[in-house]
Amino acid sequence: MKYVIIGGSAAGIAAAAEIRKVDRKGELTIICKDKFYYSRCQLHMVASGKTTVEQIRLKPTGWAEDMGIKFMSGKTVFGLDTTNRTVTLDDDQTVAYDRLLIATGTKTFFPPLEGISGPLTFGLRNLDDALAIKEAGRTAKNFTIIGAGLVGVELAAELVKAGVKVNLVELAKYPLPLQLDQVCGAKCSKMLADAGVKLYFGTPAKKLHRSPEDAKPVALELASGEKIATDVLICAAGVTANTDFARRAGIDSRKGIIINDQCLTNIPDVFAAGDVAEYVDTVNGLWQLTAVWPTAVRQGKVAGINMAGGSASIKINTGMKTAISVMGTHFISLGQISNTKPEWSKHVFRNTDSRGGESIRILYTDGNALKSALLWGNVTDAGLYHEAIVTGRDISGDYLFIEGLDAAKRGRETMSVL
Amino acid sequence: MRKKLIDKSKCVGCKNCELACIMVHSKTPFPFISSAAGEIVQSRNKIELDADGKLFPEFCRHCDEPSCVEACISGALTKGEDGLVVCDQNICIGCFMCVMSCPYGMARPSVKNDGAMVKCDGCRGRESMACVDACPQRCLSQTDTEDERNGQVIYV
Repeated sequence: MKYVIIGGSAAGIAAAAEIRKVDRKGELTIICKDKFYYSRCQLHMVASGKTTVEQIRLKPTGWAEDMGIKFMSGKTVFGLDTTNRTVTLDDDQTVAYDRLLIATGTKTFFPPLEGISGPLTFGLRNLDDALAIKEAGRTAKNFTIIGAGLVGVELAAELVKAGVKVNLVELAKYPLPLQLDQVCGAKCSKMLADAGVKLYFGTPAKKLHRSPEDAKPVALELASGEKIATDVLICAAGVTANTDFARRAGIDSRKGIIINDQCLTNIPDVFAAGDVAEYVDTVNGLWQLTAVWPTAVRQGKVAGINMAGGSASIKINTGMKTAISVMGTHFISLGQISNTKPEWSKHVFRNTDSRGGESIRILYTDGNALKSALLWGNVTDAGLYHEAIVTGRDISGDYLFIEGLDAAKRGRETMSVL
Repeated sequence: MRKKLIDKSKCVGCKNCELACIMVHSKTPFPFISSAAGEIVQSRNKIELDADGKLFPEFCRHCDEPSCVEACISGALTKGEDGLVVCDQNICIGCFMCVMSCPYGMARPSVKNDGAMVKCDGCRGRESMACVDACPQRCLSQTDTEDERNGQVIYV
C-alpha cells in the first residue's frame, strides 16, 4: 500500500502517526513545503524573536526516518491525476499513491489594495514568513498589521513587547470581532493601547504608498485619508485554502475541499483534512473551514485511521473555539459570540477573585442548551463549557451552570441580562 | 499497569486527596510552610458536586484519546507508554488550548500565573499515588491490571 500525504503540519503528521500505528510496512510519503514539523500557532513569537526556531520544532530530528516515512520537504504539489493515481510536483517528479491525503492548509489572503505587491509585505502562515518579519525587524521601525483577528492581535502584542512600533488596522470597531463581544472588545483594545499598540479601528485601508526608489513601503493610507508611517506591512485579514491543484483535478471544493465524516472527498481514496477541508461545524451546523489546531489534529487522525483501512468518523468538529492570551490576560471564546441568534438569552457574570483578578463570563443559552461562552480572566472551567456547547446537552441539571444562572436570577452576583 | 479505582459513593469530601496532591507537588511536604514561604500551591484534583448534588472526586482520566494532547500546540503534553498523560512544564507555553479542550475540566491554568498549565501526572516516578495513599475512606484505591486501554482511572 502506498500512502501519500500532502502537507506536513497538524493534520498530515497526525494522519501519518495513525497510519503507522496499524501499518508498519506500507510505503508512506509526506510531501511538504516546510522543512520540518513545527508549531504554527507559535509563529508570532518567532517573528518577535522571543522564541527560537528550534523551540517550536514538534518532532525531533530523525523522527520521519525512525517511523519509516519518506519526508519530501521543500516540494509543492502542482498536479493530481486521480485516474492514474499520481501527484506531480513542481519539479516534474511524479509520485504514485494508492491512498492520498490532502492536508495543504491555507495561505495568507492579501486584500486587493493598491501597492500591496512588492517587498516588505508579509503574511504570517509559515516559518519563512515569521523569519522574514524577524529579519525585517533589524532595520524597520514601523510595523503595520492589517486585520485584528487572532494572528494580527497576537503578533501585535508580541512585536510591541519586543520594542517596535506597531499599528493595528481593523475594519471592525474592536479587536477579535469574531471572538469577543463589545465589552471585552473594549477591554482588549485598552490592553493593546496601554501596551503601546496604535489602533486604527473602523476604517478600511485604502492604499500602500511605496518609495519610488526602492519600492519599500512608506505609509499606509486609510479610507479616512489618514496616513500611517509604515516600513513593514503584515496582512492578517484572513486566509484562503490551498485547493488549487485539487480543484483542477475535479475534487469538489467551495471555500475548502468538501469532505464527509470520514474525511473522504468525492474521489475514492482521496482524503482531505485540516485547515484546507470544509465540513459541517457542530456548533452552528454550517459548512465552513475549521482553522484551529485541535480540529486539524482530529481530522488528520480520522483520515489516517480510514486510510489504513480502519473505520473512524469525525464526531465533533468545530473551528469556533479559541484560547488567547493578550498582555497576560487569558480568554477563551467558544461558539458564536458575534452573530448570535435573537432567541438566545445572554447572561453576563462578573467577579473579582481574592487576588484582585477580574473575570467576566458571558454565556448565551437557548432554552436549556448552552450555545456559546466567552470566558475572560479566569478560564479554568473552559473545558466544561466547551463540552456542553459541542454536545448541546441539557444543562439545566448541571450545578456549574445553574449556580451561575440561579445566582443571576437572585441578583447575588452583579449581572445584567441584555 | 497501575490504575486508580474510584468509588464515588464512599467519598465524604474530606479533601485529603487534594491536600496530598499539593504536598507531593510543593517544595516542602508541608503545604502551610510552603504557602507561608510564598510558594503558590495547587492541587491537581478536586472534589466537586455532580448534577445530583452528590460528591464527586474529579481526577484526570489519562484518556486513551486525550483531547488535551490533541489540542496541545507546543508538544508539552504527551501520553507516555505507561499510559500517563503528562505535561512537560519546560515546554508548555500556557496557550491553554488544553484547558479549553478537556471535557472534565482537569487541564487547568497554573494559579502561579507563570504561563503554564497544571495537571495530574499520575505520580509518575513515585511508588504509589499520593491521593490514593491519603484517602481515609478507601474511595480511592490502586489496582494493577494488564489492560492498557480504558484510561488510567476507573470510576466504579
